[in-house]
Amino acid sequence: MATVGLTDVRKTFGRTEVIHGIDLEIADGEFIVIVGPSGCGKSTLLRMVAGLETVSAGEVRIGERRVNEVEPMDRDIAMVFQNYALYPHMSVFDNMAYGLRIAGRPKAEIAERVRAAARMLQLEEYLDRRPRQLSGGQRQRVAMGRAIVRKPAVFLFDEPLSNLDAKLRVQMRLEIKALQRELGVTALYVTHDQVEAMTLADRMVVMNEGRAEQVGAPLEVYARPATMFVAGFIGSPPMNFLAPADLNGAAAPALLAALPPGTAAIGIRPEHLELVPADRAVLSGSARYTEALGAETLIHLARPEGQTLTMRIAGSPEGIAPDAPLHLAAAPATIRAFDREGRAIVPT
Amino acid sequence: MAGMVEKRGLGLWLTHLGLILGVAVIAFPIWLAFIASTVSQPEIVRPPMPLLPGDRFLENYRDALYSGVNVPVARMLFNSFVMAMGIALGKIAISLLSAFAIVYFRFPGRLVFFWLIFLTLMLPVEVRIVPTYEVAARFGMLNSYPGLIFPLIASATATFLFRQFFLTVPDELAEAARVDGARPMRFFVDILLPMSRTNIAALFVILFIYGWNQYLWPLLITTEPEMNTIVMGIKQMFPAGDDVADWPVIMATSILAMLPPVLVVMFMQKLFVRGLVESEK
Ligand SMILES: Nc1ncnc2c1ncn2[C@@H]1O[C@H](COP(=O)(O)OP(=O)(O)OP(=O)(O)O)[C@@H](O)[C@H]1O
Ligand SMILES: [Mg+2]
Repeated sequence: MATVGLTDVRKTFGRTEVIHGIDLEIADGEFIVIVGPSGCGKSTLLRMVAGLETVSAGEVRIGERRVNEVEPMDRDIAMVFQNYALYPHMSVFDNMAYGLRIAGRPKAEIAERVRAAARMLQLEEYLDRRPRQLSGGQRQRVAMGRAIVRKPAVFLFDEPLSNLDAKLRVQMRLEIKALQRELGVTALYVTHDQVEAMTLADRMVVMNEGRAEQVGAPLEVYARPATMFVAGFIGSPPMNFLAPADLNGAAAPALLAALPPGTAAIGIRPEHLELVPADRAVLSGSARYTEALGAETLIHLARPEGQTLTMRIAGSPEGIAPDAPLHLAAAPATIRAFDREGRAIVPT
Repeated sequence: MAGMVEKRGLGLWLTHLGLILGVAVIAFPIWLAFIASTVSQPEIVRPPMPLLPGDRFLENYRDALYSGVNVPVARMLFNSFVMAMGIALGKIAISLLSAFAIVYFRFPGRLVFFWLIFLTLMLPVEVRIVPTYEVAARFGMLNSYPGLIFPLIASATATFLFRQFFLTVPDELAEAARVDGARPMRFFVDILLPMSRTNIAALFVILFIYGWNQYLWPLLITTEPEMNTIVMGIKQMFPAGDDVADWPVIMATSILAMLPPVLVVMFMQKLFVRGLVESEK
């Protein structure tokens, strides 16, 4: 229940700067997901908010208060770690109660708060167990419980689901979202999984090499990626990138004329490509192989110029013969144009 | 043990025969010492040596415990116990703290201190015995418990053991504790100590025996019989010159000297073995 503000936050390890100035204003109760490839500085950024890393430059604020010099325990935050970091020699109850005990809360209040959290997380029967007697999902819940009982203003998550199997991950994802809604706590969530980012975030921060490339609502980021990096990183399979000169179908000249000036590359999402007769095509290629996923089919095409394209069609791949020439087009509105630096050119 | 390969037939018998022989070879001198502690002086010196217990068990042990040769053995047992406990607990306390400092804190000269501690590994008591004696003497620690204990506490083995263990404790645990509001010493007491308890138990056994079996240092630092430890005290019981050695009492003392380490191992065996083979993470 607090806002979080980052102003030109930087981090230097030794002489290398790994976070190059991040600005972000997080509203009260907002769920922010930080997503990016491995090594881009997501954890470092989160740990600076937590107070586990010093802030080299810039300012971190929690609830309007500058916290750069404040110890983690006094920042009113709780953190869930990737490997859960449960105290192995303590029972589930003690794990959850530890922070409250240190804070010197009365026994009765501790018991009540731990029990309430345990109820919420369906951990009541496990309160006497040690962490190693729990399954991965249960440990994950205990880690959540430890965060909840402290009633923090901000939740910080560092890839909390990456040690779980796919099915459990989906389930825990939903639980985390529900819990955050219910408690109304501001959350900062780090992941490299774009599905998690898309589904959890109110707004997501796409990071690349220590910079925030784009901040926005998931669908907004998906539909209007600010850079080629974001366009390629968000969305699976990723966006197809082509040079304008690659458009050589019968209908290409008209499309090219419509592109904004300065376009160095264009991007088309796989689902926006469609099969059309040759006279309406802007692109052509031959089907290399198809992946039928049931509800949809991914077709990987080879272009005469050597690049590959991916397209996604609904249903099963009937009638698409291997190596048959295919003619493709995409609605002009769905085509993203990028300049030479890889920034999106916003049509004016 | 459930996982062991089962052996049958001749192999099994041969294995056991081998084991029994081995045990017999090791146990025989101890058996002889025990026999000698239950007979009278004339019986020992007259060949052949008896191989079965005599009837003077109680008398010999009472003599040893309450009067001994120079000083009652009970006194020496007590001295040894204080020394062994002091060394074991002191070493564990110091090495836990120094390992904690080295692993969890970034302070200037950290590496220097680390290597200084490492150096002491190469300097066991025997090597530095003359300067150590000099220092102990100047501090007036001759014939005192601190004199027996302190010089033997300083060594790096245990520090290394705990350092290695602390390094395997995930960093996130310390960070989680920090977020939970634990100051460093609280983290040390609430989290690191309980997690190290099997290591501590194993080390305690090893160090207790190490302390109990010290010979050279107590021999140097104690001149009054009241401060003798039992292991060196046995040697002091041998008469100088033509006096006759009171072998039954000496042997009873030897047996008594063996008991405490055995008891410590027996009582701490479970923890000890666990500490050697697993570390709780
Ligand atoms: N203590 C440190 N000392 C030096 N460099 C560090 C340190 N911690 C992180 N780095 C560097 O900072 C960069 C960002 O690391 P960070 O852990 O934040 O990445 P990440 O985005 O969380 O990656 P992942 O998805 O793999 O967890 C990396 O290049 C890393 O090598
Ligand atoms: Mg990370």
